[in-house]
Amino acid sequence: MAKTTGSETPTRNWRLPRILIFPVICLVLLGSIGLDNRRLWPRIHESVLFTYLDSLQKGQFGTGYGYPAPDHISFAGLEPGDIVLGGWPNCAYGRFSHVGLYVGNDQVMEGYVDLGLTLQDVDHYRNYSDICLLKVKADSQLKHRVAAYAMARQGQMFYPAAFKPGERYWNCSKIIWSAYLQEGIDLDELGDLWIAPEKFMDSRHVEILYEKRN
Amino acid sequence: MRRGIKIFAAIVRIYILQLTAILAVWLAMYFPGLDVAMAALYLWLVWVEARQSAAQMGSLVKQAAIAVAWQLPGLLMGFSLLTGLDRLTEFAYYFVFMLELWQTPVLPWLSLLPPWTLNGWPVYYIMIFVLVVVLLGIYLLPAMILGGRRRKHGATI
Repeated sequence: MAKTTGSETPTRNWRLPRILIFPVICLVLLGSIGLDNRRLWPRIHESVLFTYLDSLQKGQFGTGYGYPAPDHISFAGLEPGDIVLGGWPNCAYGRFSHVGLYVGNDQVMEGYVDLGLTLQDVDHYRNYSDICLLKVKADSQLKHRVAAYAMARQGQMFYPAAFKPGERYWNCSKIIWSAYLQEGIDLDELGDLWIAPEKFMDSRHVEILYEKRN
Repeated sequence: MRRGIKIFAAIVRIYILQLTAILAVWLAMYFPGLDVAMAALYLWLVWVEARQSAAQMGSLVKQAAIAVAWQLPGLLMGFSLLTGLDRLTEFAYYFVFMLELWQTPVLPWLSLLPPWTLNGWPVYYIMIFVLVVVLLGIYLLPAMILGGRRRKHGATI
């Protein structure tokens, strides 16, 4: 048996398991998340995950991109709590790349990596090639509470692949979905792990005020 | 040659750790709270890996080479974003996404911060850049400690 120092032997014994710790944890977590979402399995092909994988096969990833094509759309019909969707061609997770919650005074609550959850002018949605304005069918007071919930989270972290549970990671869709869920309205009919912007269009709780297709 | 293989093996190991940690911490975000535990586990594993590498390499320069190779994606994306080089590509918008995804294993710590801003930027966003350097430092620390001890005992590294 080769002579080794006291400090080397335990280190070498640890080598293989240590590098396998996270892979094993990943498998356990994948299994746990899969089990927790077994109601989704029969409709898994409708999941945003499948949309994304399908897009990847076509060489599309991320938000898509395009050149600003300003539209003379009016936002006058919006009230706080309504939803504004914007889409670029080749978006990997559906027709719309981005979504904002209208909070009044021509402002929307939305999310970006470099700004976190942030208030921005609604005007920039004019640039998207696809635009849709959604009116949420709920009373005005409830919608004001939804807007207040979202605004209270200004500056919090944006993470593009944020799962629905938890209140520390947000993306532009999750903050809207979560704000309405607090008020007992689930805007995701599928019960997916994530919610893509275009899924808001499928909700029975909304009606389309305006739509522009590329 | 043998030393070259050791350095390569150390780089491969730390990359496997980083990439699997990105996936594990992201999946752990589904169970709020577990992500913080995973982030702690990540830092501990990086520390143990750095200690082992420092003992094997016996040189601060080699340890630094491994650390830089490990954080090269973060350094390149961070540098591109800070200097505006990212805008020379068609994928400028994705650089910031990729940097955040690269830093996923430490995001749970940043998510615990209050939503402070500095010059209009969220502190968590600034920290995404800063942590590239902090992680380099964490990886270098065992080699620095070891080097200091060896100097104290009259040995050279």
